[in-house]
Formats: sequence, C-alpha cells, structure tokens
Amino acid sequence: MQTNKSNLLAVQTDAAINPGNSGGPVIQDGKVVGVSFQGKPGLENAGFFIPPNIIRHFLEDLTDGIYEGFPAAGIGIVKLTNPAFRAALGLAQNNIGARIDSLFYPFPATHELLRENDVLLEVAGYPVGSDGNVIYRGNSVHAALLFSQVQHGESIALKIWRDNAELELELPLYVNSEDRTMGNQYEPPPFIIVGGLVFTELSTNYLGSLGRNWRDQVGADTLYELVYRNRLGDEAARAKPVVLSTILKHASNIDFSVDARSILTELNGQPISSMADLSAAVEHAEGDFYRFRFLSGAVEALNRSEALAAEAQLLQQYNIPSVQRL
Amino acid sequence: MKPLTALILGCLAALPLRAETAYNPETSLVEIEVTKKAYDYRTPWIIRNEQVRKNGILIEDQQILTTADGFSGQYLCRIKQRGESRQYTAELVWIDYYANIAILNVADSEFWEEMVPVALATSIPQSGELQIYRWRNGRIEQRAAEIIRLHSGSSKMSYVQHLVLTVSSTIQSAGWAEVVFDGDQLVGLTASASKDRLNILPAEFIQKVIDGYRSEGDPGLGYFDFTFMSARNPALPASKGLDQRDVGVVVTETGTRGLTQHGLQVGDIILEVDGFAIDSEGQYLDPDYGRLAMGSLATRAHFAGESIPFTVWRDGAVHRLDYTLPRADFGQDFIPEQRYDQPPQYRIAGGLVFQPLNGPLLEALGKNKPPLLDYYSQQKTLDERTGLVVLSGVLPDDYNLGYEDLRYLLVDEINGHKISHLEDIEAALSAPQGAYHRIRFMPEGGLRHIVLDAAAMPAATRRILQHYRIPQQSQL
Repeated sequence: MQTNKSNLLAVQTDAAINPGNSGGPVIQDGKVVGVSFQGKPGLENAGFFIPPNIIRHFLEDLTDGIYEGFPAAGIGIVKLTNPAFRAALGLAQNNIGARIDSLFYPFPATHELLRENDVLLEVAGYPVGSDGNVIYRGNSVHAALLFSQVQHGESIALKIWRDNAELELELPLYVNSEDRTMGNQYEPPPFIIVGGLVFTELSTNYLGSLGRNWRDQVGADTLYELVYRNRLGDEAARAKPVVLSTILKHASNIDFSVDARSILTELNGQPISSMADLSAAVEHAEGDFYRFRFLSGAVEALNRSEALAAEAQLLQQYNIPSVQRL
Repeated sequence: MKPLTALILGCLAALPLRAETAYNPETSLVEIEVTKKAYDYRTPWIIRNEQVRKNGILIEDQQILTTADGFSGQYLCRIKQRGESRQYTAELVWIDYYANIAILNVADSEFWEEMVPVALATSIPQSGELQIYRWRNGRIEQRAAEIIRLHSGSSKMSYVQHLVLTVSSTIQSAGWAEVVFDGDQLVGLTASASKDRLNILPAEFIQKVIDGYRSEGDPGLGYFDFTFMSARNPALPASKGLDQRDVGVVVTETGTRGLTQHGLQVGDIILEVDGFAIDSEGQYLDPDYGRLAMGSLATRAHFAGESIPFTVWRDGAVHRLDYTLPRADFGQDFIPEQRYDQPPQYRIAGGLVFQPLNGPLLEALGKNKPPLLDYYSQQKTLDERTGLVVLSGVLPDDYNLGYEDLRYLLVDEINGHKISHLEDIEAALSAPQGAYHRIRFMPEGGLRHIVLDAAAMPAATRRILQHYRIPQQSQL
C-alpha cells in the first residue's frame, strides 16, 4: 500500500540513478528533459526521472505564488473486459472503454456529473482502452495520468457512455486538500497539548514519523480511519481524526493508561472528529476533570486544575512555544 | 561459613532428596501418534494429511490424558507404550478445545497390563525444580525445569483464561503434552513452548475440567465476556465520583465475544469479583497462589452457567450484581476465531471462490493480510449482518475474463441481497437481475461492482470445477 504516494508520469532510463543523484538534470541534445529522482533496489542499470510536462505543471502552478499540486478526478477506473459486463452496459465487444467503478469523496463536481458504471471512452481527446490505458505520446499509460496534466480548478473533456449513449462533458478537477493520505506536506503539523497529552491530526505524515515499521505500531482501526473511511461518503471523508501522539510525562499524568497512537473520539462528552473540535472542547471545558474517550473504547481522565498547572511547567521544560498550533 | 560445614551442606544439597518418591514414567507415559486431515484455507477444497506426535499419561479409570492441541481433524490415533514399537489404536473419548484437554481410551486389554495410572497433584508448587518426561526414540527423556511463575493466562487453543505455570527448561521442541512432575505428583502437561520457556496446563485446572466433563451435562468453561482497562490513574475513578485509589478496573466493552451475559455496563468500575477485591491492575489476591489476573476467576472455581457476584461502582454508587458466566463458544463470534474439526467452508460460482471471513482464513493469509480484512475481522457487529463473506480468489476462465486478479474483497450484496453467509449466496444467485448476476463489494475496498452472465454461470461452474479438479462446488 502506498498511502503517501500519488501516481504521476515518470520516465525510465537505462542510466543508473544512485543515492545522491536525485535532483540532477537529465540532458538530451543539450536540453534538460527531466530531473532524476529515483532508482530501485534490485533493478540494475535503471533509473527514473521526472519528465518535462510534470516540471512545467509544477512551475505553472507556482506562478500565482500558491502551490496547489496535481489534481484528480476522484474516480476509480477499472478495466472493462468482461463480456457480460460489457453486454450489460450495452457496449460492443471491443477494446474501447474503461469503467468508472466508484466515485471518491469529497469531489462534489464529480458526484454531480458522473455516476458509478459510467464508461470512460475518451479523456482529453485520447481514446481510453478497455484496460483503462491511453496511448500518450507513443506510450501506453493509465488514463488517470491525464488528470494530472491540468491545473487545480481547470476542467478536462470527457466522453462517456451512459444509458446506451455517448455523452460529452467537461469535468472540473481539484486537488483534494482534505486528503489526509497525501499528508500535510507543506505546513508544520497541528498539535494541541492537554495536561501533557499531545494530540495531533492523523495523517500519513504522522504515520511516517513512526518509522519504517509504522504498520506494526498502529492497529487496523487506525489505518481504517486514515484510508478507508474516506470512501464511505462525504461526511466521513471530511472527518479528520485526532490521535494521541505522545505523553509528556508529568506527575499529574504519569498513570494515564491509554497508550500513544490511540484515536480520541470524545472530550467531556463532546465528539471529536477534528483538531478544531478538540480546541473548542478544551476551551469550553468545565468541571473538575478532562474526561477522554478513545476509539478503542478506553476512557481516561485528568484533573483539570492539575493539568492546567502541568501545561505551564511542561511548556517551559520542553521549550514549547504554546499549547496549540492549528 | 567454615569450609567443612559448607562442604557437608553442599554434599547434602546434591543428594536426591525425593529419590524415594521419584516418578517412574515407563508404566504410565505413552507416545501418541495422531493422523489428521489438514487444510489450506487458500485452497479450501484440498485435503492433506498430517501426523502429530505427542505425549499422554494414564490417569484413573483407564483414561489417557493429553492436550487437545493437534487433534483437530484427527481420524486415526495410535499409541505406543514402554518405548516398544507396537502401536495400539486409541479412541478419542472426549475433547475440549477451549480448555486444551483431551481424553483417550484403548480398547485392547493387553495395553493396560502392568500399566499404572498416576494421580494429578492437588496443589501447584510456585518455586523450585520440576522434571519433564517424554518418549524419544524408545527411551525416556528427562529434563529439569525451573518454575518461573504461576499466573493467569490464555489457553493456547482459545480465549479462555486459566491458571498457567511457566517454567524454563533446556528441553527442545516441547509443548506437546510432555508430562511435568514434582516428585511422583503430576503437576501438569506442557501446552506451548517458546525458546527456553514452557507454558504448562496445571493439574489443578486439568482436574477441574475433567470434573466438569464427568458431571452431568458437561457445563463447559466460562469466560468473562467483557474488556476492561486499568484504573490506576487516580483521576479516572475520581472523575466517576469514586474517591479511592488503586482499586477497580473500568469496563470498556461488553459482549466482546458475542456471548450472552448480563449485568455489566460500559463505564462500570469493577471493585469485587466472587468476593475478591480487584485492584487497579485487574488483579486479586488468590488465597493459594497470590496475585493473579482476575480473568482466571471465570475458570478457577466455576463452570459456565453459574452466577458470580460482582461489586461495581456505577453512577456514583456501589451496586451488587450477579454475572451469569457465559460458555466459551467460537460460534458466537461475529468473525469466528477458530474452527476445530471442521473443513473450511467455500462456494464456487463461475470460478469466483467465496469463503466466510474467519480466523483460520486470516491466519492462512499471514502477515500480509489485507488491512481491510484485518479491520473487519476485529468488528463485533456490522449493521444487520451476522457474518462476512470474502471473494477470496478467482479461478480464471473465459466466463470470468477481466476478474482474474480479484481477491480478498468483502462481499456486500449479490443481486441486491445482503450477504452474511455462504448460504445467502445460493439464495441470491437464484434471483438474477435480468440476464445478469450483479455483485457489489464493500465500498471501502478496491473494487465495487462486477457483473456476470446469469444463464452461463452453471455450465461455467461445472467446466471450471472439472478443469481445476475440484471435487465439489461448495462446502458449507
């Protein structure tokens, strides 16, 4: 599983690219045709570089001073080679057309314009094969790569097959800024400290911070919250789980028995599905205790006055500028 | 200490103090060979056979005691005695996979000649040295074992909690019911081994299980069907109005295994179980064995069906309730953890192989099991479903062209029918939508929809079964 990768066009070369070569120019006929970026262990005399169209996309994106990234259509494209499925959709038994199996969230324009089991016949004028590929500059590549050719907010021309007829439409494409699986790549991570308990947003970056063996350190429920729940619907997709990242030990929390990497679901009875929820719940907390509930069903508490006193000491002790950064 | 005194004491320590009561294993220890059917859940129609060699010991009433481990799927059991090559056919009289205990009998009267049963120890030592015995190549192998601790642990074969004696020993490849003695007292049978550590089923637990088996109705072992967490953080009980430190544990889930249970609620702080005070780590002070985790109280003095008094803190007050101990039963799990003595279930339709999601299937997938299956395997309930079915793979054929790479997808619906069990598939396929079967998978997976030709499915299934030499379309 590649939870933190997006698929973009790359070019394979027989020049070995080794550690330290990354970022170096690839020259052909005196012109830069790419930027080298990766080799692959076990793959001899082969390396990969970023082609010019990806570099141009990046540079164009930056012209307004805001980097958006590469947009997506928010659809799952699968091959359509089964004769029965083609017949059920009223399609000829040939090599044209790939099926849109599912619509992802949150892509409101996609949900407005497309349906599950629409058949993608053309993307940006390129005929789509039944295997989901297009012939792009002489190479067979997946049709989804064409979506990354346009900029955030721009549209792409699609020809689809629906209800036994062809239909042409312009689909606006967006960079899904809500996609936590892409990670929070360009901003420092948010955090809120409550009595020494450090909470942050569950993201690919967070999992990456756990090291190479992160999969062994988080449960299936955590991975589900990060990756799979997004596919259930708009509301679920927009939820940003809050995870207990670490505990800054203090006499007031030394016996707190819920482990780090647990997902917080409630504070003082208030549901928590984002850092903003947690910030508000902390701000409006009343009573003698912070009462926490976690996704596992575990509950815990901190004495509120002790927690507030501990925060001041811990900020000083660990050189932390403030109790939260959102 | 003077050198002479030290020398005398040293010599005394080296003497075999229990020599007069040392156990003679030749007349009671036997070697068991179990021949069994074995399955690979990735190809559930294939039956292999396996042999397991383990140990057993004669106890009263011409019964041979051993562990249940290795018996699942058994169809032939043979026993050797005295290291001789002759094998006697044995009958599996009774087995309890939850307790990991089995009783065998041998019909041939010759077998019992000069064989001497041994007695189970009535108490378990908590320190000192024990002796482990087993047959190896016609000779008795004897190894010393040092007691590490007696504690409450999970059965090797189930989630049941009971007393476990952990020892260290240099014996190799153990854990197959090697017998453990303290002098001439049978202290227990080895149940599992890891490096130089062995977990032993203590005699006291074995005796209790056998008593249950011999009693009318065999009530079986009970299980505390709830989860709890420590309340050692004083702020946690204080936030619930309980102004005491280091007492009780907080209930975090009830009905974890889908067993019937009464009385407890999430958020209760358990203060006492069966008259024993529970500390904030979930331990109680056992009158015989010191501090033990409370889980073993379910099996220490009770059988399933009995009521155990609980004292809990709930809504700012002490409550007393009777917890009716449910019987351990894998069949009640939403995703069954184990399936003993049953072949894997499957159903093949048009080359698509469907299987119920359960523990053995997940185990067969190993460490690389798909995260979504891992997640669903931990669910206790799901909407109105009573189980989950997986498309575990596709046997390629022209009929299912384009779907040959599909595997480990959770089935949501077939032809609009929700699918919980393999039996649901039969009903769903009998009602195609027009000329097609439409299968939907769970929305979080990699693929949502597939369509198959309804009329062509029966012939395709027959052709595929023949092509792949699969004897039957389904095993339910």
